[in-house]
Amino acid sequence: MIPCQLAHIPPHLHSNDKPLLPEFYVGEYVFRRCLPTETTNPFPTISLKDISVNRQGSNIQSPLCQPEDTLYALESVTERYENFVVVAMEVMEVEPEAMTYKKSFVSVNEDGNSSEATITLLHDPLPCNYAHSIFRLSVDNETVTADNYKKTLGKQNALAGKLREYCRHELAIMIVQNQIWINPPGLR
Amino acid sequence: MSNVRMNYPADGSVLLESNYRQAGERTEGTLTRHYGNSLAERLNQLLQRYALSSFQVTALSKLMTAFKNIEYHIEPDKLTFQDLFTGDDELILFRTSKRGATNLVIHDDELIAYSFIGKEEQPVLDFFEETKAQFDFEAIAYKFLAK
Repeated sequence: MIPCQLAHIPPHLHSNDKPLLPEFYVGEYVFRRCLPTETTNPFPTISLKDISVNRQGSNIQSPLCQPEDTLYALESVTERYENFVVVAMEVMEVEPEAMTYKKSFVSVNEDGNSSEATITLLHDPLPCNYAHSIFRLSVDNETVTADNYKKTLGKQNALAGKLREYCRHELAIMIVQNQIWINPPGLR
Repeated sequence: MSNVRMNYPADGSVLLESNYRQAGERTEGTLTRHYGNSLAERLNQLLQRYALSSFQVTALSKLMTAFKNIEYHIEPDKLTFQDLFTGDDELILFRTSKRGATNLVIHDDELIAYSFIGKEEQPVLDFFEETKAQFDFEAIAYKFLAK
């Protein structure tokens, strides 16, 4: 990976040659930068194309990042995002095989056609943000990207429409309730 | 009393709770009457502001009628909500309360989704589709305003 070239990014966030950490841990926190209004209702404004967070890592004594590190700007003219707050979400459960949060939603229409969306939490280091992670969305095993969004999850039909709502609803629950569950208890 | 005006935000799109309360202090108990007027005004603003599909126009009109029909049965504060039009041509009406966040997504083509995310209550996601049954807009309106 190319070295971080941004002077305002502290060294502990530089990826350099650090390894990818595919496993997430129960009790680990992930941090997301939000507008204050989004902490109570992120549903309307959450983007399904780019759902970035920073992960804490397994070692609480030596975390990969601090919550406020999510406020460093990597592509903006400013060094830090102003007027944003940081939401911490605790990983409550991981899928045993993938060792991360992974959850699928199936949408079925009256004709019996179905489509499946899967949300997976993945470590996705960037040169200037080793803690960077994403909730990757895939539809029928095709990863949703900015380029293919329209044909995977974008406006097409009711099947895709429902999948968007499942994903938006799930991600919004995490942000509002500060917990990441695969099989949530009846009442949180 | 009926000539007392509510104060609306400059862009006309959003009636925030704080604006509502401010206006309420001035109008001293005439809010219900003016809420009736504001719903019609709000509908016009939404129709002018967004490129809505025919389904969305119909759904929104029927929802506003339902809001008007039930406004006397609910707390006036509950009729404050915000709106957003997404890149996928979805019209989202949303409100927050002490209990949590409620969102109603009117898709451009015969699908309405209801999402409630409670602070301490179980989250709910429901879909209303014309293929399954006729839309009951009064039921949808009640649901949107219930929590």
